[in-house]
Amino acid sequence: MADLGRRRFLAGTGLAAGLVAGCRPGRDPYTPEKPPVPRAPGVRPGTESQVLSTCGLCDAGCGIRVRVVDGRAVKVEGNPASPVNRGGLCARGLAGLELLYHPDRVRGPMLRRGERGANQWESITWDAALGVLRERVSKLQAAGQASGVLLVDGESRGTTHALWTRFMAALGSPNHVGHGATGRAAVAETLRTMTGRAGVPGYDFEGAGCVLLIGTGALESSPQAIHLARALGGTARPRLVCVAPRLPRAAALMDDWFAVEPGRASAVLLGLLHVLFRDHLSDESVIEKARGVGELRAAVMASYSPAQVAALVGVTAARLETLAGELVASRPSIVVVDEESKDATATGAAVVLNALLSGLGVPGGMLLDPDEPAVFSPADERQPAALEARALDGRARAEDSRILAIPDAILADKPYPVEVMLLHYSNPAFSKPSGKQWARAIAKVPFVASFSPILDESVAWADLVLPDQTYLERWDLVAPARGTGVVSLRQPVVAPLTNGMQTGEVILRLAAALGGKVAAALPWKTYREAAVAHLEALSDQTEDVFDHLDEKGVCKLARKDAVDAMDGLTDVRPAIPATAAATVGDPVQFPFVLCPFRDRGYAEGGFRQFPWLAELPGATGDPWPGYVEIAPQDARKIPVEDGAWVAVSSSAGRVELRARIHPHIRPGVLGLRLGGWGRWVGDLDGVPARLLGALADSSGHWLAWGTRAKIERLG
Amino acid sequence: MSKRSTGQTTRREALFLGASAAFAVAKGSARAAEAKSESPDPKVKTPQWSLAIDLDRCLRCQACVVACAAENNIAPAGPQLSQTMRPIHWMEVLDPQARGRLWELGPWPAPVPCMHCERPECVKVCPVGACHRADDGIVVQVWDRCIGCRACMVACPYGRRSYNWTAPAWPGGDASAVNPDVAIRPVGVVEKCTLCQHRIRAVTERARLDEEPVQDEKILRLPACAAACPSRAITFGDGSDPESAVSKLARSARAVYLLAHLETHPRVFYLRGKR
Repeated sequence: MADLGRRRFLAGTGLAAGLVAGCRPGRDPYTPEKPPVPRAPGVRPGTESQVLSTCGLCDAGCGIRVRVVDGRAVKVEGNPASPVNRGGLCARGLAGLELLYHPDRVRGPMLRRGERGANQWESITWDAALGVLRERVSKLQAAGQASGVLLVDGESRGTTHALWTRFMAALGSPNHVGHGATGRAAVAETLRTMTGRAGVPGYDFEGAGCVLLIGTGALESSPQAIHLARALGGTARPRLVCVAPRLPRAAALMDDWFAVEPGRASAVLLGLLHVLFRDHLSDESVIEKARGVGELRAAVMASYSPAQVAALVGVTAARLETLAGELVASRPSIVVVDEESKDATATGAAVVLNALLSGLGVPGGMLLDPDEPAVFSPADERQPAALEARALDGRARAEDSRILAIPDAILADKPYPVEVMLLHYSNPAFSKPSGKQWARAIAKVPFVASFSPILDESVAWADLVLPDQTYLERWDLVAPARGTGVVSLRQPVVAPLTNGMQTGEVILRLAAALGGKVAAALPWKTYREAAVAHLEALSDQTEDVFDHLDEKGVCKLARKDAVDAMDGLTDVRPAIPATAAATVGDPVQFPFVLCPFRDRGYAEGGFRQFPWLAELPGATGDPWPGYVEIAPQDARKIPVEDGAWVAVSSSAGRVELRARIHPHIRPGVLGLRLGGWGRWVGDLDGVPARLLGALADSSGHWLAWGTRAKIERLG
Repeated sequence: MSKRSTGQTTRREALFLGASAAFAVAKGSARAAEAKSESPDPKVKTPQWSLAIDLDRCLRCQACVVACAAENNIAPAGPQLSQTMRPIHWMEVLDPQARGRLWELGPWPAPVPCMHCERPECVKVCPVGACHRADDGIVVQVWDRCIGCRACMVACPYGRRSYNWTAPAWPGGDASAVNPDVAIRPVGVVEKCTLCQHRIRAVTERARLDEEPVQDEKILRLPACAAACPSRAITFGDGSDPESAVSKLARSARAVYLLAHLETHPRVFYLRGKR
């Protein structure tokens, strides 16, 4: 009887039925629900295996070990043999199966049927889909308007990226645009100027005595995070100091925090340089021969004394002196500039500090990594420095794409109209600053094709979808950069769940269909052949690599162009202070500065649709909507309480979010969590990135902390 | 490359393992009977599992939370349900304001699993014997016995128990990623951390088959949370073995037990202070 009563109670409160898909009304709620577990076709029951592969949710390249039962992937864990993560894995990597089995996976190639943006599709075959794309591209090629093809490429490394580079060069379009200008390109480009070495730098956190973090990316979504975590698990951990307007909850291990104003981190770094120069605390021979060293010294000595910096950023001069002393005393010390929120001067100053405090390419310091070869066998005739046609974003070098300039160029048809837009690993309508401009630009381009394996905001506006496979369904060779010096195997852990096709394969097929120069530049029959050719360009030692990869999933790689320690910098001009960072918006109307951040679940170019991550504790009482972090002092003034709905507006837009009172944020700053979870957001007005202006520094890199905003309590 | 990399278990092997496990159980009970009748064999001494969480290594990255959910088939609650009720977490990185009296954890968020107390309050109050403490010190919830009265949730001073207000629902209804080793809990029962009992059992059974003791260094990261931790902040082991890593940590001056004055004697403890 008690049972009946309770059942009635549950039905009365409406909790038992109808709320979730798995709970069907009319069913006895006490019968244990047996979930429908489909068995993969052709798999013998009782088969269990552990498959070694490589994570693909950011470009850190952690080794993973996936447990597969009856053809179903049931658990992702770290591969202990991988030197990147040594068996550990971040929350996002662990949630990877939610991407594999996501309900919004695109099941196969689709052609738009209804209005654009109506999300109505017709399933077509791969041959038909490739035919549609080939026709569009070859028509432009024949008319001599190949530059009308724009590729937005979310990958900056790897074989697929290299194939795209060759494809676009052979086609004759200069418009191969990466996300680097809103991401990590600033660090790589500055390093290239200062050392002549391209490639993403790594840091030997394990050997360092003190780590100074500029921005909090290395504690959140940056691929550096796994390297820092590994070091913190060692027996002697480095001292951690952070310079940032806000700290994430992951900053619990921080030994000191300089809560400077957004965009003022460069002043702190120049102040440290001042102390080093003034007291001759370091070996300055490493920068002696560099260009611009006199100018840098003069500028730093004249206007960045601790007292002057203190007045500028609001920390005391004594603390700055102490920090400089600590960095020197616990050498080797590392200065890490956040790959995602920086300005040009801060990046340059950080490289100079690293050279002075630890050295380049040495244990305990900054690790230099050669970039992956753009040219590999058979050699292509591309001249990377000279673009034939003028690029949309006006850049001179193919590598220096400036994605911020693209939407305006498309909307103004300047210097020429864009006829075909290809979106690879990119969802600019959701993720880029001034996303509204992007949505308009995508709507204006006559033909848009997306390669996304999952339905997203930009796919919704596309004409053709050629779904990629997820990283758990495809084969690849991954060379994680950042000084790891390894190559890592990615292999399908389960049979493909959709009729998707690896984008590298699509490029090869499209090139073959186009014929002529393009087909000659991409002669490989399969993606695997191309990836092996790419690896061979990287290293001579490929004989036993595959045996190692098969056994361990990861292998040390002797690289042809391995970088040893460098004697010194060749150019320090990027560190010379430029004009102070500006912000978009009137300070009276918009009293706060937005400080956007990507938390653990969402990295540059990555997927974000993971329900487990959405529900990680600690967001607010209601974790699914986005939230904005506000200092307790500011919250009292407005007033707004924890978890209340607020409207945040900037000159770029207005978004309704939950407020979260955050003890570790500088007053006057709002921490804006980028991302947004679960399924795709049909209504783009709720996207937090909408608030951000597309302000760039002198070198065309996005200033993430450059937007002013106001906040109002709702209801 | 067509070959899978490691550890293919074919069905034949699986059957063999099953059969040998059954044999081992029989052998084990025979041994236990022997141990009872004759002098106790030190080899069959039941380990007392314990877990140490080092807050000076923990980055609060929440990898343990996701690893736990993936290992133990904790389905996401979804946007509607999580507005009204707390989603289920066995392991949870709790903010200071969300964890009430657990002031020993310091000013930052900290991961809190079930404490696996030696004197568990939940076991005392359960009217149907659904909460019980196993020989190896793991406090388990027998889901089939639970009547959903939630007395244990009131009794637990650490708040580490969750109630299934609805049946679990996987995104899109696709439960392909469920772990076959862990039962799916129905609506109306209380659930909690099991210290990954199924993973422990797999290792101890294997050791028993091989007639070798469980090696401490092989099980340091045995539970899913410990395995996932990128900064190796979580250490697992046999607390009754004075030489095990976890016992050494328990003896360190940094060891902290939550709500020690309640004398629940948690088997899960923290390490705090300079290391």
